[in-house]
Amino acid sequence: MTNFKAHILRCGRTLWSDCLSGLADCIFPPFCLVCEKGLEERDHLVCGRCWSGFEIIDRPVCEVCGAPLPKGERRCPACRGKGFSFSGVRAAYSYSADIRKIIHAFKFGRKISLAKRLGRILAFVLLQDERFRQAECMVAVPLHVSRQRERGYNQSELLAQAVCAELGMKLVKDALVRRKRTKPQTALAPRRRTRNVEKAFRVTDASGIVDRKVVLVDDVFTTGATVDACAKALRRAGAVDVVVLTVTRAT
Amino acid sequence: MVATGRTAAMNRPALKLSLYFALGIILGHLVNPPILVLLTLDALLFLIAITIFLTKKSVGKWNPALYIVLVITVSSLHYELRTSDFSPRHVSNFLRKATSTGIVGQIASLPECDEERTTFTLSVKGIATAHEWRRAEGKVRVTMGERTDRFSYGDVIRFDARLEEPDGLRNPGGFDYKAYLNRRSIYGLIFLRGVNNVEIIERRGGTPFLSALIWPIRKSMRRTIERNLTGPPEALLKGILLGERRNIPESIEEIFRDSGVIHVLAVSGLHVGLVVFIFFNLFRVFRLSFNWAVVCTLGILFLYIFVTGSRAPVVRASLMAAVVLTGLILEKNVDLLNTLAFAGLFILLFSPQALFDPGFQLSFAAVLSIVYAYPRLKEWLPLFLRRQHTWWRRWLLGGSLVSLSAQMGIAPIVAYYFYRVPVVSVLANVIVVPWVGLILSLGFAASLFGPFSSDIGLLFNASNWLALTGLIHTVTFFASLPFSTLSVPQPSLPVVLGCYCVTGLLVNVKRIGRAGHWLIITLLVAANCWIWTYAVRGNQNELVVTFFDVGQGDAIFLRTPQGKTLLIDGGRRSRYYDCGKRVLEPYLRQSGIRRVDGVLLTHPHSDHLGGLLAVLENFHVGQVMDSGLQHGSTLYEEYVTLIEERGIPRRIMRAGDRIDEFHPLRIMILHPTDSFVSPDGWAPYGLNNGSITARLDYGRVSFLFLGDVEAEADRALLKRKGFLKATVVKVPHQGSITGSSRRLVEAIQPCVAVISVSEGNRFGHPADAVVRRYEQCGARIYRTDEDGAIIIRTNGERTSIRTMIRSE
Repeated sequence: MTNFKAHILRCGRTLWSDCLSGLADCIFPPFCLVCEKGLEERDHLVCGRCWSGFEIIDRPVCEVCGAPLPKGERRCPACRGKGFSFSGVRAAYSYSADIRKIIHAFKFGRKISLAKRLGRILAFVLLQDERFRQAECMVAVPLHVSRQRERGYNQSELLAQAVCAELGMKLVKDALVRRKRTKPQTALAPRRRTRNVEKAFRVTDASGIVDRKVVLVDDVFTTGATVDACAKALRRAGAVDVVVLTVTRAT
Repeated sequence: MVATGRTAAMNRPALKLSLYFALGIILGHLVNPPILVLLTLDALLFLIAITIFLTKKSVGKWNPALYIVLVITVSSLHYELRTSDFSPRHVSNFLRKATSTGIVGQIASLPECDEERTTFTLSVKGIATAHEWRRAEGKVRVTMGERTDRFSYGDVIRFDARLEEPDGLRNPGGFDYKAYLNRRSIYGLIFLRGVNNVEIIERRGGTPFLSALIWPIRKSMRRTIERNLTGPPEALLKGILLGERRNIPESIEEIFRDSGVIHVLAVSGLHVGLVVFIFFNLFRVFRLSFNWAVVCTLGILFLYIFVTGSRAPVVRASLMAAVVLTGLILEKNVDLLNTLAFAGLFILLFSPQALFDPGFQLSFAAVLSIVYAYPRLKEWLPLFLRRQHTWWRRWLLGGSLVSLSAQMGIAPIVAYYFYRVPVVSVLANVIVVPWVGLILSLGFAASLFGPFSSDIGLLFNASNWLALTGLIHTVTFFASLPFSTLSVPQPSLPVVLGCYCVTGLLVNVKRIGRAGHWLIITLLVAANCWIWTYAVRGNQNELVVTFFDVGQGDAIFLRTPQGKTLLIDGGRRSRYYDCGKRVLEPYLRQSGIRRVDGVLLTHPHSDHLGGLLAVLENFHVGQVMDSGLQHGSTLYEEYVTLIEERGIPRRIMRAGDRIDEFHPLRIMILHPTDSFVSPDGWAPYGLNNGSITARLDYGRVSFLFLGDVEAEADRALLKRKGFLKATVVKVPHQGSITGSSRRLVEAIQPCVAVISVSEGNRFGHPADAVVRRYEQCGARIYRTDEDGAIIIRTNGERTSIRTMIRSE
């Protein structure tokens, strides 16, 4: 008899939780934000197929700007003479329309929880490069105060946090600030971008970075204008070396 | 992130569920299954489901078919219970009582006033019968012939009145007021002359949420508007902000309709979007965190739904906004199609009748089309157009595409209900919608600050006056463009569905393969064939004579086998009721008739002349025929000037004249002779006796239209006895005792007698003696008060008769 009662109770509980999760699934059917196909239970926001489908940058790349190298060359023809203030770039993925969806969801769609997975990937990338392993602290590309307030979070900082948590590195917050309300770089032609972020960044508290090797974290690397401006500010404030870590890079 | 449905593989549970639910409602509506059967079936299916659940313990293995049938039957049961299964106490059982009864009820809505009327919904509590008060339930709409603010929401009132049934579909192409009210759970109408006989038993009952929170907000918004604005801008703003369309002048509504932007006058999804935008940013400016800002915005949205009267479009948009915002907080991906379906399901759960409401359908069709077609249409754009960096170009491009997809979605429905296809609206919406956004923001600002400082309120209202006047001018401009809308005959339901199939395939043209292209071509060819058969079908050799139900008065429309058209009289026109606008125009538009070849006015009394004016004004009229009788009314003057202005040839008819334009019909005028019309146009025996009497012959079938002839004319007619015998007769003067003498009826020997008369008129028409006279001659009597419009079709040999209300 008690057995039966327990059975009924168990059924009731299943029914109840099934109803609740059924309702949630009815309103928010889980689907992958990249391919828009249904998600499996263990997946979160993006399906496993899509994650493994992104193009990883594993070819030989330019030591400085991180661009894939033409065969046989050590430094790429592209960044010769540009004089970047950072000494190296590493990115996890090659920029594509699909990865763009993830970055957009992360940046504009408040899918903050994506930071964890992206952070893990970035940590993996970081560990592969000697110069990055030697770095002592990490700095995220900042947003302007008004933009940060509007958005509520800084996606680069979330990324940096996740990487630090993964590797036990030190994240230096509030060292770098964005003084100018710059226009979004994506809205500008490449040649105007350098101008847009010129003198936009300043180091307010140099104590964390003086005489240190710094990893600068951002979400996307396209022309490098933004991170270059940041690196310039960091170097001027006393950082020994700046290397750049981003999720995607234009190739 | 918001998905727009690019792959079919995505699982959209709410979409499936809502489709099955809607299917169940449609089945319930069409088949009308007995409730007991449904109940048994549901109980059975439910038992099976439970048994499976208890024995297998696994939810995933249930048979989907069982679910589907269960959802369908439950939804049809739900619909049936809501629409037809009423207790004996329900008001619908007390309707059509000729005498007035005592009624007690509670005011269930915020009373709305215009210049001379006040209306509200009354939830009936009790009805007096011969001996006692009986408890009753259900809602009725009360209209008072006086502007008053004595009543407020929640008051319990008592009065004596007649509980009338709203008019159903009485004329082809007309408006089914009864169905419209029933969809809003209103089942009766009450008209009160004034407020004096109404006794207020109790003040301020009702739901505290409404009476203490919602209505004060609404009233305060209304007051702010009324304080500074008057005339059309005031009415317009009330419509845009609060959805009160009652005061908007007919002419303004017409231009909005003609340019296809009428939706901005009803509170719709656009408004919800703006409310979210305005308040969310406001909260963020006040340094609320994102999540709190979302929660507060949702709160405001919740209030706004009720303030605007919880109409379907607002509920839909608010639910969608709520899901998208909650998705942002919970970090869930949101699929718009699924969300739209969820909103639809929610509304249908509360009022399944809404599925048949044009407003509901238009709202969902528009959004569905935007969600589905917009991303597909975007793919059509050449690359250089897609990559636009200038904001106004992006806005113009995106705006036109959104507008285009919305219009594609609603066009078939608009054609079905309103017999028109908006053309200029694609462009008009791109301009008007952001403009209305500005007006709304100003309106909200005025309503927010107005109660605290009338100066600030004035500031916003004054700027809004400018915006509103500008809007009126812009819309007038769009409406005045040639081909702003196309009049189309009402498409049948299969055609509407076919249109959606073709549109659905067309927007997918880039995504489907070869087979799909062939399918589209086949469908287009089929559509073409159909249009041609439609065009050719005009030549069926059938004469269709429609006797409209215009209350007191006559209006008869003839469509000859050759497709020519003749209108005999037009019914009345008064301040509240214009037959031309209410009956004739909708009919003509529904049938796709743009040209009326002949208008015949029997005599210039207002109940025959009134409705013609709208036709003369808005349609091409080939010629006007009347007896030359004059009448000293303003209507008659308007009639004469209208004919002159439009340059319509006018022909004076006398007994013995023939009208040959309508071959193969032979039309002959039997009356009046010269002695009934003096040379200067006055009537020695009265206007009625000067009525044109026309005889129409088509094959072996003949019609006799007697106008309003009375005894003197009867005698004159009897001199031409040979021409009187007819198959169908239009009984003179609403069957009044003054006409239809025994000898005349015997001379006619009709098979069918049509009496055009209004229900419960104060003249006692038709006279029982007259009805008996016709019946004794073996005629079947058709009355517009009982049958609605009467449509007689004949091929010259056989005749078939259809009535709008009691189908034969």
